[in-house]
Amino acid sequence: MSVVETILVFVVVPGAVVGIMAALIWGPGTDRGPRYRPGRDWPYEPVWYAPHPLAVQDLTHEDPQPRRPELTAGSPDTPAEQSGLAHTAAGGARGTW
Amino acid sequence: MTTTKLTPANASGGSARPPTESSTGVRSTPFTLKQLERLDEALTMASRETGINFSLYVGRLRGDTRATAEGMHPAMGAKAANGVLLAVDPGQRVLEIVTGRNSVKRLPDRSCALAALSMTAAFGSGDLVGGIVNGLRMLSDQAGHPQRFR
Repeated sequence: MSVVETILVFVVVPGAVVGIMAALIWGPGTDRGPRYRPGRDWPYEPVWYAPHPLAVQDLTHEDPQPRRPELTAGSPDTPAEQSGLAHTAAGGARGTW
Repeated sequence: MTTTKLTPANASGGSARPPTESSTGVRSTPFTLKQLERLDEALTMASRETGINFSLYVGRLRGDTRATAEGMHPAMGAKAANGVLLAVDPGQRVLEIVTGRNSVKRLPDRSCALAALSMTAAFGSGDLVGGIVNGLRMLSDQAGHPQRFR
C-alpha cells in the first residue's frame, strides 16, 4: 500500500464515518426546542391556551353569570375576592414533582 | 388553538410580568411548533369529546398556587362552570387542576388526582408536553361524552 492509500484507508475513511455519525447525532437537534429539565428555572412568559371555540358547544344551559356563594368561606382577602370575580372553582387536584 | 394572553393578574393582585430573562433571551413560547400542534390537538379533542372547556396555563403561579389557580378559573367567563383549568408551574414544579361547578360532577376529585399523578410522573422525567397530553386524555376519558350524544 502506498502512502496515499494508507492515509485514505486509515484517516479519511474513519474521519468520514465519525463525521456522518456526528451529523446524525447533533444535526437534527438544531430545530429542537430547549428541553425542560425539572428543577431548573422556567424563563418563559406565562401562556394560557384555550381550545378552539368551535370545539366547545354550549351543551349546558347555564346562567352566564356565575352566582356568588351565599356563605363566604375563608379569609376575605383571597385572590378571587380581590379580583371581583365570583368563585367558580368547585374541586380538582394538585400535584408536585 | 387560541392563545389568550390572559395573565393571572387579577388572581395575584399585581400585573403578571414575564419571568426573568435568560441570557439567551426570553422566548415568548416555551414550545416548538410540533409541540404546540400536539397540545392544540389534545386540548381541542378533549374539549370536543366531552363538551368540557379544558384550558391550559403554563407559567408562574404566584403565592399560594392553589388560590392563584382558583382565582384564574373565573377568567374563563361563561364557560367557567363547565370548565377545567390545568395550571402547570414548571419552575415551582406544581400542577393544579381546577374544576368548575358543572364539570366537577363529571370529573370528581379522585379522577383529577389520578390524572395529576400521571402528569406529574411524566413532568418529573422532563416530558412536559407528553404529560399534559396524557393528562388531558385521561381526564376526557374519565368525563366521557356529554349526555346529548349518549
